[in-house]
Amino acid sequence: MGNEASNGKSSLIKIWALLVVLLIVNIIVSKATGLLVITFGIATVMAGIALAYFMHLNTEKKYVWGVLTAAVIAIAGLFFGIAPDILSNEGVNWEKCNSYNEKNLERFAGHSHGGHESPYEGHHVKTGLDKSGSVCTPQRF
Amino acid sequence: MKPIATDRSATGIPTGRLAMWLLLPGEIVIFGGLLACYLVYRFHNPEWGVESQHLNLVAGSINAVILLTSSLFILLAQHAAEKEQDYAAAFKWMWATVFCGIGYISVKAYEYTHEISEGFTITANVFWSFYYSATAIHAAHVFAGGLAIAILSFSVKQGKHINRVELTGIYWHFVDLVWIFLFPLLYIAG
Repeated sequence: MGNEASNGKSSLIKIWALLVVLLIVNIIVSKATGLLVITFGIATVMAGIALAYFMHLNTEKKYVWGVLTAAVIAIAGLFFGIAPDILSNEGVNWEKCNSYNEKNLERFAGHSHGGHESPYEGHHVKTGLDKSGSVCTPQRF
Repeated sequence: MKPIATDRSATGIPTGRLAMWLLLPGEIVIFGGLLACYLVYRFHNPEWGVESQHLNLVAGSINAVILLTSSLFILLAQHAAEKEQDYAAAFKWMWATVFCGIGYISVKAYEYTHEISEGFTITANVFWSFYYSATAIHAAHVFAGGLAIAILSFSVKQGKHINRVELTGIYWHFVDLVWIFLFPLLYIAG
């Protein structure tokens, strides 16, 4: 019994040490590469180890996995549902204000050498017109 | 008479533990939603990498190690209470976990003070809004978990409610798990 207990403790300590090592690896690799995908990947591996061995999910009933997976799928749906719109500058019948204004600025700058001074020169653009002609406010996040 | 959540296991696992597993999806949606939005905006705004360089990487790393270590402590508390029936040891490990939580919040408070004094407030830009929202909600969870463990420790010392050490432990590991994602995404990925 005592031996079994100390074995259990030592395996917990080994898993903790593994997580600390992975944390250090994540810091070093992410700093070196600056890639979000690698950072997120190593964090996911660490989370898997913590879930399996710290939270004992590896010995838990299978439907508990289902409960947790449902929440993760909901989040994945949120991400992949909004990401294309946020990450694209234009789509069918729409174009983002920022992108539209930048193009217009370039066009305006191209025509402003003939004595006409650009109203935007030396200023940060605050507003512009979108495709429908209504005023839009570019957002800088 | 023991509470029904202690013994009944109509679903194959004790009801208390099932309740904890049902609580966590709600937490996953809260933090997962924040992280998903952060990732979307982060991919769209590479300049956020510059903002993250203003964060204190050493303090964030210390907090990550503190939380990982606190997870080990609560597991040792559970081990002592359930397998060794050493309730005094379980009490000590639980308080070691609580002190880790206090340490985490103290480091976070130091970071906040430094960042705000530098002018990086919650309204500085969207990166800082994400940073303060995510880390403050997380710190509130650390506080709640630490408080629950501290209150429970006195019962455990008397040999009561032993099963709840595991329940608070699952919650605490989840809080640790959230930081595993938050820390590298906010502090490192530049």
